[in-house]
Amino acid sequence: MSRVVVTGMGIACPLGVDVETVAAAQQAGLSGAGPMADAFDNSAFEIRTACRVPEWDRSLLGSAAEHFAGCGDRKGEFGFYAAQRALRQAFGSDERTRAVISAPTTRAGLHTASGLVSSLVAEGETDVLACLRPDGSFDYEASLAALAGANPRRSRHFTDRVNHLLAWTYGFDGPSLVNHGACAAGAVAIGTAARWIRQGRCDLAVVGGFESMIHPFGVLSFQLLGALSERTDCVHHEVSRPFDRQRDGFVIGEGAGMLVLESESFAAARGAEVLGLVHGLGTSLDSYRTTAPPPDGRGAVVAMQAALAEAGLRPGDIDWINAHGTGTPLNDSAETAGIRTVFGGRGQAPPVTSSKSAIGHAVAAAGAVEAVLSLLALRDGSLPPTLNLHDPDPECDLDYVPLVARPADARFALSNSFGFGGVNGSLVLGRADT
Amino acid sequence: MNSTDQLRPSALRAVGINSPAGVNLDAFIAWWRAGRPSRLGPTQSLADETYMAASLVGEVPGWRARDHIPERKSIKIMFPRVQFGIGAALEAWDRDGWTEKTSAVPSERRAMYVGCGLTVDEDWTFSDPIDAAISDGHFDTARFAREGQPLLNPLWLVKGLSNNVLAFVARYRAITGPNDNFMGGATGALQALGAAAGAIADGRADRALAGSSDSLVTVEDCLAFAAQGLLPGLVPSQGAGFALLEPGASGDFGLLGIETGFCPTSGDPQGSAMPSAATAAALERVATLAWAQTGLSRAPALRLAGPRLDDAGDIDLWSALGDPGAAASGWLLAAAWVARHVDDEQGPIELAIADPNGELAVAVLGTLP
Repeated sequence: MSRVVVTGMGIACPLGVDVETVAAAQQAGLSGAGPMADAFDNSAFEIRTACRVPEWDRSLLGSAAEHFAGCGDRKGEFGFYAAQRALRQAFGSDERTRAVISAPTTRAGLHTASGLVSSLVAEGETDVLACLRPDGSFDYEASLAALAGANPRRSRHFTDRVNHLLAWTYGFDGPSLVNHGACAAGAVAIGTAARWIRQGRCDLAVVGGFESMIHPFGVLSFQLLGALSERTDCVHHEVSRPFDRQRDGFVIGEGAGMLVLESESFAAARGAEVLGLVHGLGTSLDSYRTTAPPPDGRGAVVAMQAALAEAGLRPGDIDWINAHGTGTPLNDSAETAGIRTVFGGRGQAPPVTSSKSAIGHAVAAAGAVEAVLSLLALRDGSLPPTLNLHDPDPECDLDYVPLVARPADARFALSNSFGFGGVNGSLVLGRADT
Repeated sequence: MNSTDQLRPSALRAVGINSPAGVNLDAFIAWWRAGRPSRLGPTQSLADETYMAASLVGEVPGWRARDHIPERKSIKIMFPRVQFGIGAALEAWDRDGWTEKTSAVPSERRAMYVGCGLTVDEDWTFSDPIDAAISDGHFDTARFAREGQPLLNPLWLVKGLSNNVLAFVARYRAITGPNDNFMGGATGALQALGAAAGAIADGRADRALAGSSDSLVTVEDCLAFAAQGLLPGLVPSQGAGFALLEPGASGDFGLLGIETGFCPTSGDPQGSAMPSAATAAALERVATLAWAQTGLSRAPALRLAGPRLDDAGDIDLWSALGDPGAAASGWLLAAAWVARHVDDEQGPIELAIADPNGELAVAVLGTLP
């Protein structure tokens, strides 16, 4: 069974829109948090902080930008951009990418991950929504005109449109899916496509996730659930506090992380540089509550153990964990309990980082963005810090690499992603020499 | 992974289905035996049928969620497509007489794979909050926060989760093992079938559900279809179909081969194009790969094809039941089951489906060697 190597990485996240800028920011302990008011008028909202992709400009997509014009599809723009960057790193240019992927002997797949909610309400199609009549009914003709006038084809299959655009642009003809596994989606998409390659179903795949819920509907929805931090007594970059006693919720983020995966033999045959490996995926279901994990983290335990089994590794082989680490009171203690069950307590369990302390929670894209960050940390030989961890919660008693990065000869990382609905995904990633 | 368990074949032990033919498999079989008459008609579920811009729809007749979902208090946070999915999945899971007390399968070896439709606000939850936010015909964000928020169901996001079928069925049947929830358009259930069979083949699961659910009978979908000029040709429908898989033995009805793919030239850069000659050619290529796994020459005793393909296959489900989006491939699973167990079709059955956006899947079911 073939091993799966990473040959391209692309990212758009609150720390930047190119891999090396993000790698440096991660090691420097920078935060991508800022005022939510930069996204929309949040004066009447209780949430003040968001982690936005900085100075996003659709023109970064080059000629592909025309496909997104007028669509209001910020998350799709992130996704296509990150995939494009990953492909260029893997193959050198768009032309060479097309030549490899559309070759008759190549079978190339797509497995991305994206959003939770209706395209109609999430993408700011408020001209359509404004067609409500005063009595609460709906003006069909007016809404149809508004929808058609904006972009007649944008509504139904929005989340898989990035796959379609990538296929249309580069000639992908292998398996194609969009994972809708809530906040575990990005990690599961990566691990599932790695299985496709191991099973010989495709030679290579573009995998990852993209998301943006920093809009009135997304923010209000999480706010009503009490999931977001409402902290206003500090500067924006101090709001996200995973594993800290003072944590009160997550900071909403956005972005995309994309990887090019190849079978080791396919990559070797074309002399590709190996950037890392995807060794295993474990998935599980909590079978508990929709928005809360079981306090003992038993669902997470099953996912982490399954990922280790697929990777053929023991707990002691894992050098570092990139935690789900949202900063919500329930997640961080339950995840800690799960890690203790699988790896042992402090002194036995490997160091743990929450990337969300720096980039917020990118929801469906989180696992994919954090996979890119994890591969960069392994490459750079330095574990990124958990920011703002000044007062650790007694229930969170592991080594969380507080405040500053730590040099480490780490070979294997476990990246956790858990989602609403009780879905869990754990991904075992390896340094290029593993 | 246990190497001795690798490459275990998957048997289809049961199916569950709801569709315009009825609320369960028995109703589907009765409709099948009656010669598969049309069950399309004007909408009964949406108050204002001008939303539909289509004279015909397919709706699950007589659907009462409390008859199919064991936990009544949660029904209010389930959109219809979620209810259909849960109903069909539980019907498949329970159909062999399963009970928790007698089950020997640990929860972490129970698996579930779901092809979902795109989540929409099916019951227009945002209607009142948005109405409160409209100022001079435009949406006002601050008004939305101040005056719309108190009118918004605080569980709206939970209600809108596209993995709700997976989450609720997992809770009801203590499924904690391998799983996935994805959108593969109309191909969803066959994609799920392949993933579930993979989990059984490599020893990660001993009992797995695979299927899909969807409803196109919604305001948002019909708006989108109308804007794309697809109405009235397309007949929006709704429902779900799930299969129950277990490790199989020689002689069982099971999965012989499955492959998926994509047709990069079937659509245009904006997606949602109708299938084309290129789609048919790409589907043929995927079929060749699927049949190669079976060890058989390609000679299906029965071929069931998805909606909107030029080649309708041997039995046309769609002119009688409409197009249920992601649920189409779930219905194909159930139809194959009925062909085998009601019509006693013993030869291999080919299921072929293409989504207008380019996803392709072909499965071959039959007697395990």
